[in-house]
Amino acid sequence: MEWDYVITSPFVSMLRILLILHLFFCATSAWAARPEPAPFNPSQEKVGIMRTSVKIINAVIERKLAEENLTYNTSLNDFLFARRVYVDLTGTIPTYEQLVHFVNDERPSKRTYLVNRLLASEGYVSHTFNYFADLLRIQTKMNGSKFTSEIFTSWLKDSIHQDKPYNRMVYEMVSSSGSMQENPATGYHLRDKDMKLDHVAFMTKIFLAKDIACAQCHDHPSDDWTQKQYYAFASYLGELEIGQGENLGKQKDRKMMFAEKEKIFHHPRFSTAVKGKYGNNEIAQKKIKDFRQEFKKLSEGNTLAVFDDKNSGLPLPEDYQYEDGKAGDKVKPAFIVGKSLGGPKNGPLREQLAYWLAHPKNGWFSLAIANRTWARYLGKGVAEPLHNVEIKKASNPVLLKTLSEVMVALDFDLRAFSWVIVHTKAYNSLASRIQVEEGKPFHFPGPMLRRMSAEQIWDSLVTLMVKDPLRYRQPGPPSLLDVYDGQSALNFIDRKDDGKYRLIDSENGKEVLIDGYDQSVSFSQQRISVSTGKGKKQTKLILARASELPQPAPSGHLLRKFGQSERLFVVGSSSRVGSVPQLMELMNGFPTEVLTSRDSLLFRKVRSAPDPRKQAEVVFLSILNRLPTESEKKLLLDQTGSSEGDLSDLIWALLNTPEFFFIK
Amino acid sequence: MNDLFQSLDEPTRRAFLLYAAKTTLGVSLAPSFLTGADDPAVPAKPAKKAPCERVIFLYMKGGMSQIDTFDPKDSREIGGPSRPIATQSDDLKLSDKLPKLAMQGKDLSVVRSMTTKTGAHSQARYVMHTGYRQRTGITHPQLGSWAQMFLGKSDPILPSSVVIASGNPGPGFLAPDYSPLPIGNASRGIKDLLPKIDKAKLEKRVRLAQGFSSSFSHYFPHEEVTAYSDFYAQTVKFMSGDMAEPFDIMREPGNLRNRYGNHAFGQGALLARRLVERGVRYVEVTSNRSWDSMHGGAGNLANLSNELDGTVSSLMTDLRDRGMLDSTMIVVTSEFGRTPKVKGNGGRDHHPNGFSAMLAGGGIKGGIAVGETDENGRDPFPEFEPKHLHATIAEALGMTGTKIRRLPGRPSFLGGKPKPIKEILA
Repeated sequence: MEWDYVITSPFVSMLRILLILHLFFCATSAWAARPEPAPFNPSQEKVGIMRTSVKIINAVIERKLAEENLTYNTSLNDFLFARRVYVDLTGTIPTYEQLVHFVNDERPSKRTYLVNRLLASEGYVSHTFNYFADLLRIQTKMNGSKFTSEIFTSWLKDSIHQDKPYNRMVYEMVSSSGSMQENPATGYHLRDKDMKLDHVAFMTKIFLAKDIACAQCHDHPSDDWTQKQYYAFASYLGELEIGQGENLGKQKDRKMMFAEKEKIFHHPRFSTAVKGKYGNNEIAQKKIKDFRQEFKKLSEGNTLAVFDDKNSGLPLPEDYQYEDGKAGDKVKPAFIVGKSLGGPKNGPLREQLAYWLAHPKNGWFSLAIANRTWARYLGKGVAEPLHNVEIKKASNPVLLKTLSEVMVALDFDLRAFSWVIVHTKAYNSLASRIQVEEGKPFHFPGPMLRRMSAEQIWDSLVTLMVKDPLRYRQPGPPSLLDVYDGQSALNFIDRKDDGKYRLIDSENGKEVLIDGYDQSVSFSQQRISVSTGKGKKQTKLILARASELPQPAPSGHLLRKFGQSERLFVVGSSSRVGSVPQLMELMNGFPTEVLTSRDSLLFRKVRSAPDPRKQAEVVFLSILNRLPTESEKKLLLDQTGSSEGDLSDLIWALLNTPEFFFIK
Repeated sequence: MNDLFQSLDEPTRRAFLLYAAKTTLGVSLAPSFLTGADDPAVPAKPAKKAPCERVIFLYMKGGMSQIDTFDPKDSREIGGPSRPIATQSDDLKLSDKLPKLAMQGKDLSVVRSMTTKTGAHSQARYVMHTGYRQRTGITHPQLGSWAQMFLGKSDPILPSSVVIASGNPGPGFLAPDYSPLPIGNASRGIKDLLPKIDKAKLEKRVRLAQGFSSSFSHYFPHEEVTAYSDFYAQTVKFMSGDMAEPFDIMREPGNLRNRYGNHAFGQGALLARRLVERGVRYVEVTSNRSWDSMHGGAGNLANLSNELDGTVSSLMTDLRDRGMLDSTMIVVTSEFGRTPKVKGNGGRDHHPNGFSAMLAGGGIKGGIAVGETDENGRDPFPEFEPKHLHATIAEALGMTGTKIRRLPGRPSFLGGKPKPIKEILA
């Protein structure tokens, strides 16, 4: 067994000792007197673990650096630090005001204050949601089905918002039963309806950092797993069924509820309501019919539930070719790594699986998320590839184990874990100048140079275009409880298919309606009414954050061009490589057009600066989050004048430098 | 040179190839591609000139009813609203819903025994575009990307494949360089992608951007950063020519535009012809209307087949008039077919078991039907899957050695090593 949970690393044993000492001596830390009003508020004990963990991680990295005769890269100045933590923790570059405020802050612990505040922001929820949406392949429209995943995505956002421990979240998903209406976490299983074997392969990649997909069809080529082992593990999901589940009592209630609601659609008052809206004519007649059909389909989708059926199973496949079993055999469930950790013996198999999977003593589980999270912030995992880790191939096995232990010590609190990482010296150093060749170990003298994710690029552009974009959020899922009479039934069903996209303005609770998916819209006070095309062919974009758009964004959207995943058959398939269409979008696309136009948010900020030199500074600080260098100032003097047209040119030019979308 | 190659170990050799590819072909490779893959930028030269130089793939979305198009049946019960009619070729009958195509029967052929393993739209669409069934952990490339891989770029500036109004899966595990250029609306072409400012201003801006990029690019000499610089150079080159021209169908004569049909599909087919004429190798056009005629009756069907008949016959005529039909393959097919039995409401259900593909032009023998479904319109014989269709197109295009290595080093084949449908190749 590769993983031995009794960690022998002296550093980790030290963690526990230091922790106790720390609690002794630092009982009054700066934290207690935190002036910022923020709900990110870990207990004293946890703060102790966090601070100690930072020290230990630093020590582990420094020992390795010393061994390799390396030193940390230059440390980050305030500008670079602000840009990096904003992008990493909230998914977008800071605004001009946020940046200036931070740089001018004179408190010695200002970096910690900023991190605490960002971890408690809506931006953190949005950005973390994007990460999980990629891993879990979330699609708003679920394949071949009338129902959408909004209930599940709302649940996921809420879980992040409420700081639900990661292992709790995974436990809830894996053990979930019922319909999405009853238990939103079932959206996790419903996503993979009719593909149980693939579901297993996705699960091990995401949660255990083990790629066993090959063993689905044959013994793993490098002999890691046999096909039989695959089926043995898959058997834990053997009883999982997705369907109407007629034999389950609850199903009846569900059907009853829909049957009750359906009656409303056949009540004369419903017809009256439709006619009231569409006129007493053929159109209304057709609408009535369509709406009824629509509701029927909808209720079929919603009565779809996750349940366990003792009679189901995953027997060896028809073409099973090995001698240790034959086609049709049921295989005794067995874990693919590690061993049983106690827990329910007689409950449903899925319950047993969920218990084992998310257990703090399941070393692979904590390792997988610790390594993934490290890679999110440092640009590379301690071990790669992230979905198939071998400890012996890690660039620094002690670091890997330490991170994993910290994750457990922090009770899978992802915000606290992120806090630890962004406080390490490695994170506070400049990205490595020289690229490390693929396959060669990277020892984290700083992060790797990273291109922003598609979501980070889009959200940064939105930040430049819209004031406080996260004010506009996706509404909660439509509820059947809202249907009680003819008129409310019409309201409920008519909005389902009216082709409008809905957001809620969280400041006043009002609904913002947007026509069509790639149409529309400008938000609030600032007019961003630039559009392309004329008349009916006008196309605009919804300038909301990526997390508030349909998942994934429609193909052709800037997000997709920059590599947002399609969420089909590959876990975490988002990409960060370049292409010509990306750059055409940045050079000529709608966002650039908005930003270079004179009534844009950015332009108004720039205009308020007193002189051309200051104006150029505002542009630099807004887009690249730094001041121009001497040679850049000279370039500005030589090449441009001081007209508004020249400012547009400068904005355009900075948006079209690679520096804009890399995190250095 | 040989010695040099032998003395180099693998990674350095790749670096060398990368350098060679960049300098001689102007091709930039994305970093993900540099690890473990055989270098794709140096295409295998086809031994002899291939019979077909370009492909227009017309994709009928939603499941085209083969009985009402290319596989008509005598039986009234099965035929529903359609009757078989004679065509210009004695060996081929078509549905009476396609009278114009029937008049060009000598130049087109039909594979009537297509079959696919899934009856779900999106999965079947994936199979038809890639030759593979959807599997976890991998996305396969679409046909045009494969072609670019084996034959190189078809034009120094224009993209090698373009997809119009399509749900095409893109370059799959190949680098983004192999992406088809997507166009949403044929009438607008790439107008939305082009600069809306004059040339002098664009040049000034590009100059500025280059100036502001230099410190970053020098400080971080990473492949990813250099790749972006290269992409910028390519993009500027792409925009500095008259790039709107190849994509602008408004420059075609009005009567020709009308002949193709005043609907999105017709205009898409016209744009396809315009693009292949100018150097794009592979263009896919998806029908605007859906053939998902489960609930629809005869009226709907008449509209669908009218569009198909008018557009495809005009495309064939137009290509013939320009002397390009011999070297341009036209393919018409769908994710699956429709059941022989007509439902009460006049619709037909999904029928993955047997359906048709029409092929015409470059590399294709005209006037014949290959394979058949039984008299009840059910079982196909001999069975040809989408991957066999892909192999057929690949063969006609001269794509030899259709195999690459992909990460983590497993060999991949176009469609998984199928044989082409020999009978239909000229």
